[in-house]
Amino acid sequence: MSEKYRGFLIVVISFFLSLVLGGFLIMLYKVSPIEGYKVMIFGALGSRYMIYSTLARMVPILLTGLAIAISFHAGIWNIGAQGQLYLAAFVVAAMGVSFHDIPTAIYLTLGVALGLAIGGLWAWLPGYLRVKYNVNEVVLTIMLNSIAIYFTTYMTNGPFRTSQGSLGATNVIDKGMWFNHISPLSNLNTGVFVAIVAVALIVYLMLFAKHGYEWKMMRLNPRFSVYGGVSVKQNMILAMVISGMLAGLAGMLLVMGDYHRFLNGISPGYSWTGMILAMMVNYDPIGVIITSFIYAVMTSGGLRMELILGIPQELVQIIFVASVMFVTAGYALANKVANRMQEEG
Amino acid sequence: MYIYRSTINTLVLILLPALGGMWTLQTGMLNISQEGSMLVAAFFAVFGSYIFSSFWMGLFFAIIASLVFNLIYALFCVNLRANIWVIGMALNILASSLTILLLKSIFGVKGSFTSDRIQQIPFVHLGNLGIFNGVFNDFSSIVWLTLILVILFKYIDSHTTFGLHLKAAGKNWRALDSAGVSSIKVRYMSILINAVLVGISGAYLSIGYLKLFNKDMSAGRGWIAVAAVIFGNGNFTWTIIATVAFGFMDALGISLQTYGLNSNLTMMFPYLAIVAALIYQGVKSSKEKAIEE
Repeated sequence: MSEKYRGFLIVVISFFLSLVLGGFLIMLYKVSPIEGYKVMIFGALGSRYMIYSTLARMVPILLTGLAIAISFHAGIWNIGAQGQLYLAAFVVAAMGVSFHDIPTAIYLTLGVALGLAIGGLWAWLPGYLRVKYNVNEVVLTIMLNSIAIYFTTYMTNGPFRTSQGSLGATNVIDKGMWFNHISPLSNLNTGVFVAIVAVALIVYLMLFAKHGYEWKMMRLNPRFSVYGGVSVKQNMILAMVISGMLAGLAGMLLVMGDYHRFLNGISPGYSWTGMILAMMVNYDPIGVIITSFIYAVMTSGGLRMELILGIPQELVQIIFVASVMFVTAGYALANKVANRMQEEG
Repeated sequence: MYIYRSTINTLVLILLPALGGMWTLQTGMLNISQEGSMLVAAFFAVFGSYIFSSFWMGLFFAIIASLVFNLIYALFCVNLRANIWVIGMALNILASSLTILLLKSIFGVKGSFTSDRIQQIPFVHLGNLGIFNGVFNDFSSIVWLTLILVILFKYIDSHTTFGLHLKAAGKNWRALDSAGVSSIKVRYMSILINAVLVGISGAYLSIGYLKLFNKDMSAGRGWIAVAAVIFGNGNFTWTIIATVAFGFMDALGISLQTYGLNSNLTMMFPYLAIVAALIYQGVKSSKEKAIEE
């Protein structure tokens, strides 16, 4: 059996098993699993607006999922997508409330560029320190998350505190910087096209370009890739920066597209979700696209499930964590079987 | 005095998982699910204490929950040799969603739960000590327990065969196995000991000074402990030094709020300190390497 096929099979079986587990959990709330999942799917895809909302929900998860896939794929652990997202989102919003009367085309470009730059920069720092001084990037990025989040919270309570009602946010950004909503009832906006371009680029980069191959080699066998002439250090930093840029893009789209301002809770754990999804499919970009769609459907529907059936929406996250565990166990068992067969054969 | 007392209070929270994590690191397993274990333990401390109106049951439930949580970690990372980061992060995410789900399902509340039925872990009053009142009196009994544990850990770490086994399991597990000591067993021991400590720390978080559970109330304390463990790199003294330094920064940040500094700015203190410490450590060790070469 080819490796790719085996991985696919493990992921599908694991996901199915975790759905079964989820079914048992749903039964604890005295609801039949079929009814529960039916409400979930209808809540996400039952009407045009529901589909729009589901897609709007999918965008940040997909982008952070790819951000994490690309760095983990290269063997450097960017746990800091949350911080990169927050900082980029805030800086873009700060620009949006500070400057006015700039032509829309220029302002949009500036906003996108700034978001990418800030996200990339906040990821470059731990990447550089990891490569140059061997500082543990996992702890570093987690600390940088906290710093970014407290910093932005400080700014929205201090210098950039809103003068328009609700607290914990900046003012609404200049209209010239808006990606407009596609329909008034959902947050889906024209920024989604920027996201599509970015996703296409990343898929190309990871699956078809030389870099993607080198990254994979670096993760699987760093020593060999050095002999093969791969500059491991530069590639690691590059993967980290691209990862940060994607997280920055997610944050920037939330500000310029979804909310048109920066909010303190702008990302309710998108990056953690993205991480679970990326781990579940073993950092395969196509896999991330598929799972983030399924995840968006399930959370979107999860909200409705909570509303109608009284089942907490966190159930969805638990189902996905369970499938990560099943996948991990599946790979471990498959390797064990393969080793044994090798020994016997 | 205020900073001294609040340093001690936050220190305990970080010190317990740092001690436990130091031992698992010695056996070669960096445990990054501390944040999640702490959170789960904090929830079940409130749960046990609420159901039975007894802090003993709170502690008991917290430790059991932490043990179960860490057994999953051990099963995956020791037996199945899964990637510690994948499993650790998955467990952290699980803890966050699971506790919110349980809050909603058991207590019917969304973000936070408190009740008069919850019994706190008692404080220790030593009688009137005059000028030493502020120094020793009225700390939680967990503070004194932690002090005893630190001394005990120091002794076991450097004076017993178990301490040696821990280090052998990390440095050369094959040698340990051929000496007739199962390295898997030693790893399990370190993980379970860590689980008990994190369980106590989680209970201290929710029913030590407060009587409530908030969603995500561990607020990065588990991560600070992990940072201290990485900084200490298995060495007892350095782990303690790092923990005290980070705990102090944490407490300093909190007390500076009373002087009018914005709380969100001061909350950044411990994290900035850790970043600085990690960079310092990295630069220093890479310089040493350059000299050796």
